[in-house]
Amino acid sequence: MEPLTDLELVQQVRNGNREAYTELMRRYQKRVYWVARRIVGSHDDADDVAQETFVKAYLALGDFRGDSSFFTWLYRIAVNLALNVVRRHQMMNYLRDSPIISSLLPARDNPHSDLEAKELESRLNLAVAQLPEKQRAVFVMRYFDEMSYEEISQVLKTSVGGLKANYFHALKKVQEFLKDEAPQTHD
Amino acid sequence: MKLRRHTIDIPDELEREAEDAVRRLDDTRNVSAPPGTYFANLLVRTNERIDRATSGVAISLSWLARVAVPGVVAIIFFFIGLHYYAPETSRSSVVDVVNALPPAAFDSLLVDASSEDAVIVPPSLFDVSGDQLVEFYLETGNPAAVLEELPEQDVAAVAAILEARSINL
Repeated sequence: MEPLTDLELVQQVRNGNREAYTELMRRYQKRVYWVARRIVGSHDDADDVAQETFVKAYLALGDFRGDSSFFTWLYRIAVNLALNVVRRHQMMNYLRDSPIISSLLPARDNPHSDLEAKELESRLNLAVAQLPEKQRAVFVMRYFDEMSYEEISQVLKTSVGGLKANYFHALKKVQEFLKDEAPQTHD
Repeated sequence: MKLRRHTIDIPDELEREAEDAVRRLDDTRNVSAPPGTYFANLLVRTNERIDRATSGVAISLSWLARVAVPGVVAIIFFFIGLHYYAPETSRSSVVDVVNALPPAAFDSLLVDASSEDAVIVPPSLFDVSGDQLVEFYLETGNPAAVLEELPEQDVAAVAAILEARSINL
């Protein structure tokens, strides 16, 4: 028996079949987790984004019109939630620059803490973390997930030309970063 | 004029070169993947979270946050606005209105241009006595109405006079 398509499963979920949604989650949870992980950088945030993505998608399934594939729609939710986390971290960073506010904030939320830097674990992830949010999202989708520009365009609702430029700038920045940060193994 | 954002067209070869350069330096293989049980566990935790999000309490709270609270705030602001709202009313006096009329309209209001003096009419102007009414009815040739206006004793007196006259006749 052939497995059901995404749209068939979505229809079943709409008819009240919760198992069908579990099947959809099983299909896409790894990809959702990894795109989130590569954008936000840490496992804990990625875990939260992945869960939140599926909860949000479940609650908004009535709004899914099927213009794009279910995965593209799900991916869009995940990328937006992940970028929200990045923005929140950037805001926290900004606030931490103020000595008064930083004294009020808990220390463990600092995204530049040693713990989090350790979580990034690779220089490439560190390089990605330096990118502006749009370039970061495009880089993750294109470089790691090897998505076509057309697919990325559907997720981010941006023109293919703009995406190409974003990706190229991101590649250049990452390359620069990796060259600068390369470990000096032989002199 | 519509502004267009100009994007540089990046040749595919240039993009591939840059991508290859990054791949050569890529060290993400070192990144630790979550343990094998993680995704099975994620499925369970996400389902639990969906259950909580779709429970009656969560729906009530979300309804409260999205509808009830903004609704109440809107109603309060509406009443506050209503309380302080004072529409501009034109309280111009009759004199102002008349002064604002064009000369032709002003002249048309005067029936007799020679008597422009205003006369204050006493409230007792329309208090008419019975005698005055009788006189009025007799002058206007309506003697039957006179009897209706006469007090009882006068009617009796008139009847007596008429009776005496008819006897004398």
